[in-house]
Amino acid sequence: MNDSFSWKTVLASTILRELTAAISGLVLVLFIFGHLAGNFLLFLGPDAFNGYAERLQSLGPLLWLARLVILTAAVLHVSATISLKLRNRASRDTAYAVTRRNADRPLGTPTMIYTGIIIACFVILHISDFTLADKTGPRSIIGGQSLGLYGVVLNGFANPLRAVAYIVAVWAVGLHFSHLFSSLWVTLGVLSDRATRAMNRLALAVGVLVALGFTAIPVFALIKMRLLGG
Amino acid sequence: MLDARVPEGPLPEKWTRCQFEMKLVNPANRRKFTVIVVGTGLAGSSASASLAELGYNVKTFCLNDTPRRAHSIAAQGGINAAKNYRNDGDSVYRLFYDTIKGGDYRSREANVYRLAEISVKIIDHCVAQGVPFAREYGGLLDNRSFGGAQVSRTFYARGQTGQQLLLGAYGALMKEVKAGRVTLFPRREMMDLIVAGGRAVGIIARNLVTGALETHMADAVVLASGGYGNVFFLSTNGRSCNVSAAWRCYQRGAFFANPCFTQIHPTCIPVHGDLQSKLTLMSESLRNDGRIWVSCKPGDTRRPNDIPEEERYYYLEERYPSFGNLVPRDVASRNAKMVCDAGLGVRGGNAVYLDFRDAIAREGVAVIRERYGNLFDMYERITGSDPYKEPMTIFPAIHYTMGGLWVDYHLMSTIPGLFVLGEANFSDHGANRLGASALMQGLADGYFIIPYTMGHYLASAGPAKVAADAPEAREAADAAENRIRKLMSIRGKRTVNELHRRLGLLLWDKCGMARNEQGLREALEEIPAIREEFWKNVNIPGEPGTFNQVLERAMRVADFMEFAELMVRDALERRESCGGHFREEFQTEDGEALRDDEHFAHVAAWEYNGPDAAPRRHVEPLVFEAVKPSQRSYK
Amino acid sequence: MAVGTISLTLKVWRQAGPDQPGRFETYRAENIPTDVSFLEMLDIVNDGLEREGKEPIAFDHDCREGICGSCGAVVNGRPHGPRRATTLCQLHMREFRDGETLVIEPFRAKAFPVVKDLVVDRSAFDRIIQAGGYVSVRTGQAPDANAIPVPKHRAERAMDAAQCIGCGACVAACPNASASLFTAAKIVQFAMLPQGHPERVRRVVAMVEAMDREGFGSCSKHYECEAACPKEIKVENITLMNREYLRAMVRED
Ligand SMILES: Cc1cc2nc3c(=O)[nH]c(=O)nc-3n(C[C@H](O)[C@H](O)[C@H](O)COP(=O)(O)OP(=O)(O)OC[C@H]3O[C@@H](n4cnc5c(N)ncnc54)[C@H](O)[C@@H]3O)c2cc1C
Ligand code: SF4
Ligand code: FES
Repeated sequence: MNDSFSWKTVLASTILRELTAAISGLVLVLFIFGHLAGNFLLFLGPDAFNGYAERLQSLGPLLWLARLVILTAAVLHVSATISLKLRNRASRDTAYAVTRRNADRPLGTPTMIYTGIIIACFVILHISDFTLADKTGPRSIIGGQSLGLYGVVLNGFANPLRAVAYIVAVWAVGLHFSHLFSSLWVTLGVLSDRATRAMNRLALAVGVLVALGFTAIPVFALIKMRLLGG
Repeated sequence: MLDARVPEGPLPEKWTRCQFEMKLVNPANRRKFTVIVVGTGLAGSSASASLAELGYNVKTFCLNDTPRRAHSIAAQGGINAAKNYRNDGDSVYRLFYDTIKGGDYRSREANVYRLAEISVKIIDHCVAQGVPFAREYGGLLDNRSFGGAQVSRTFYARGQTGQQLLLGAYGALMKEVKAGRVTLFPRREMMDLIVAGGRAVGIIARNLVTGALETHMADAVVLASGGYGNVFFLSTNGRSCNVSAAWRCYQRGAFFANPCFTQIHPTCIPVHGDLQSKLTLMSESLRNDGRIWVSCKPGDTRRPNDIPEEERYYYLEERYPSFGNLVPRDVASRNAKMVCDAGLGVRGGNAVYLDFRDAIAREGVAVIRERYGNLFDMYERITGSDPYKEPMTIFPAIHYTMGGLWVDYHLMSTIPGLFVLGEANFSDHGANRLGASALMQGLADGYFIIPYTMGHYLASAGPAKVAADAPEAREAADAAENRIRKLMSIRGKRTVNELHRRLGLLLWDKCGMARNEQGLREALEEIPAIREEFWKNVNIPGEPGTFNQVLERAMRVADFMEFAELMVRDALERRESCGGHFREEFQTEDGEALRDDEHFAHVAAWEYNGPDAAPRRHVEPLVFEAVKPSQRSYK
Repeated sequence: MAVGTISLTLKVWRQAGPDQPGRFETYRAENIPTDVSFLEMLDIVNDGLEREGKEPIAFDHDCREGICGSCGAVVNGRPHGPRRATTLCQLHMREFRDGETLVIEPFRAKAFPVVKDLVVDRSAFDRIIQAGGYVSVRTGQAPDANAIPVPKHRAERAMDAAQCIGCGACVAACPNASASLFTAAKIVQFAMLPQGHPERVRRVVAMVEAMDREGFGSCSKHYECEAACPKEIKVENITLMNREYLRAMVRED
């Protein structure tokens, strides 16, 4: 053991990349939760929701800082996971004729790359749909009146196709998250074996819960727009 | 003419004196010396690492894909050391005494004393390496009594002591590889020894992946290639264990000592059929709690649990009241054979019961599981029967070979510059090895003896200065190549395994647990016939210049075919019974081994005389100054 | 003990050398007694091949008692075959049913190139150990064995990790062909013992670097390694390795 500690080595290691993926994932998840909590204000009507959106906007530089953090996390997350994925694919050059999974793992783990891609597409759609939307334009009008971002969201989901696409995406988020929730403890090296295994058992349920939470919004919009007529 | 170079002086001072008298190599000069080490078991790995730490340039060879898989990995039970941590009366002297007595007074006192002395340092070193020995709640090392010892001097790491010690030595070896002082040659088979100017100066090795023959030169050669138990085909040894490396050295002039001293281990899983490839040992520690018995009715076909207590014959407990189930290996094995020969074996066959019923009742399942869980699991995996519910069945099997190349006190063979360590030498165990002493010996040789004696040799003999294209080297390479070509050209009808099995069965019958003159003479007739059949009719598919496992096996079996004859000859000449060598003609009234100290208190060392002449038997008399030989009694 | 026999169809990966293409060959294994081991079953098939003058199936093996770590192949998608905590050499044919088809492949990973048929080159493991899988103590330096007490539970955990036989099944099973379980087991053994502490920072960094350099994948927590490991080495070791790594980043000692 002649090599002494070197940051260069540490920064290039797969362990650090796994850690980066996990921590950036965690940041993104925290953001998503905050976002979700805010979005639940939708249920309280246009005033509460729009007020929340405006208050966010008025944060100015702070908002930009938050966006920067999220953006960095997203970039790190995507680059770390993609570089790991490429490496991991290359580490077995001949495929097995018979493959089977013998460990019983939550569905999230083997599907990470697929759910990840779905989520990436979804984020683009989501930003163009809502974040960049003209909040007073035609898409905000419900019953002849502009209801601001509230209107944009409800109108958006009035289209069942879009609502279904959203629902699929948020279930992908749930599944993706369930893996994070189960693997994080190993990556961070924090929990005991018993606790880690308990988290593993909880992971799928937690993922479902997250997905259900997100599903509530398009479903709410659909019901409100279609059945209750806005 | 055999000079064992035993130092003068009283027993306890010999090694210290010898260490002082030996010459030293200047540290700056050490890297100019190259030492070849063949084998990476406990002996080879520890020797390679220790020599490299001193600064020698070491080249290490082994058959396996990595040094860590050497056969030492399989040792289960433990390693002895005279630490007296239990305050139960152990001492260097007692370990020495037990080893001499256990070996039935056929080992060299000075070597055994040194072994006992060094034993304590081995444990210190292994602990420092991070070997996870079993510990007590106070955090200090645990000990158990093992293989019939009346003191608890055995250190252990669950049932995987050999594995943990070897991984410790392997780690040390890897450390030196990293430091650039050891070059590793895995998947290499030593094909011949190069002797030039009267000293060992290199080896010919075959690269097992490419089939290429390589010439490696050095200033000295250390052979740590393990034991030859596989001559019997079925044994507890790993499949690659062989006599070939030692045999080549013998043919180059190294004497082979006591080849007939082979050890039978009493507790192995019985043979289940003729397709079996190896025998599995169940650790001897099982005898600490298990009781050995057979039914009193010959050919009893009842299930063991249906045989009532009064119809069970606890033959060891009855015949040896003070040692009971813990008699030494040779005694336990022979008694198992005796009851089975009398038809009392399990279903009249070759097996006896090892029963944990009483131990489980006394200690509870949990305690027994903690002690032997992994062994019980292993037994269940192999046999499909659950030892917690039904007694195990066991039978003796070939396990260890005390015989080996003759070495002097410096562990040097009769070829200067050829050192032999571990099971490959004729060792310190006399005619019978005590449990947990082979690991001790291998590590003593490698960590604490060869570093000194090698220095002395190199300082005295100087560099070898023989080039790889010297005639001696080329002759050895050609010999190896010719042997391979000859084997490959036979293309007969018999498989290697088939012929090996035939040889093994013959030896087991005639030169196994019990031997007699007539049987040995018959064997001497039959071995050449099998050998002839081999050389006429063996079939080796494939090509020599490739990874060819059949060729590898064939070459080893070819050497076993020759070696077997020497073993039988040695058994025939030794007209006494001692330790693992039991001649039926020489026994006491109650069937115990009867030594003949007047005529056979010596080491028999055989000298090769060419392919067509009989080998010559030399004698190294054994002088007992400290311990007076007596009839071993375990009653 | 009455013994039955079974007959099987084997599809075995045959590959003459590292650079040669490989393919599956089909063999019949007829009347195999159920009390022989998997390797003995291969011996029987090989015996038949040898008698026909054909090259037998090459496979690594030595101790045949589950401790040397030589043996191993993937049987129907499972490294070391279907039985939990069992090496291929300790797997017995009573685990299989008459008439089954077994697909037998080598352990596959870029870092384990095929040498021949089912034999692979696992020397990458040696290089990982060379990077730091030891305590740097010289022969002769050690204090008395009982000078440093080690709490029993820590010694036991060290032993749990130290049981790894270096077989490579963890790599074979991992969808990423990661060597994390193997590497972690060694790191944890020394992390548990006071003897390992002086070098723990350098050890974990160097061993992980070596593992990456060999081209193994990363651990994305599939837990397949644990399911395949014949010595039941737990993923917990990877948790602890990661902890050691983080520790190394914040504390240079
Ligand atoms: C199942 C079993 C259990 C045991 N349990 C115990 C126990 O509890 N306690 C105890 O004290 N002893 C035990 N023993 C005995 C002990 O394990 C061995 O005697 C000892 O480990 C031998 O060590 P070694 O270094 O001499 O040789 P090995 O460990 O046999 O090593 C031989 C080395 O030489 C290499 N080699 C051989 N031939 C060649 C060649 N031609 N070319 C190149 N390389 C070659 C091999 O690859 C290997 O690396 C046990 C033995 C067995 C079989
Ligand atoms: S961790 Fe398990 S599967 Fe991996 S090499 Fe060690 S024993 Fe084999
Ligand atoms: S052959 Fe040694 S573990 Fe299987």
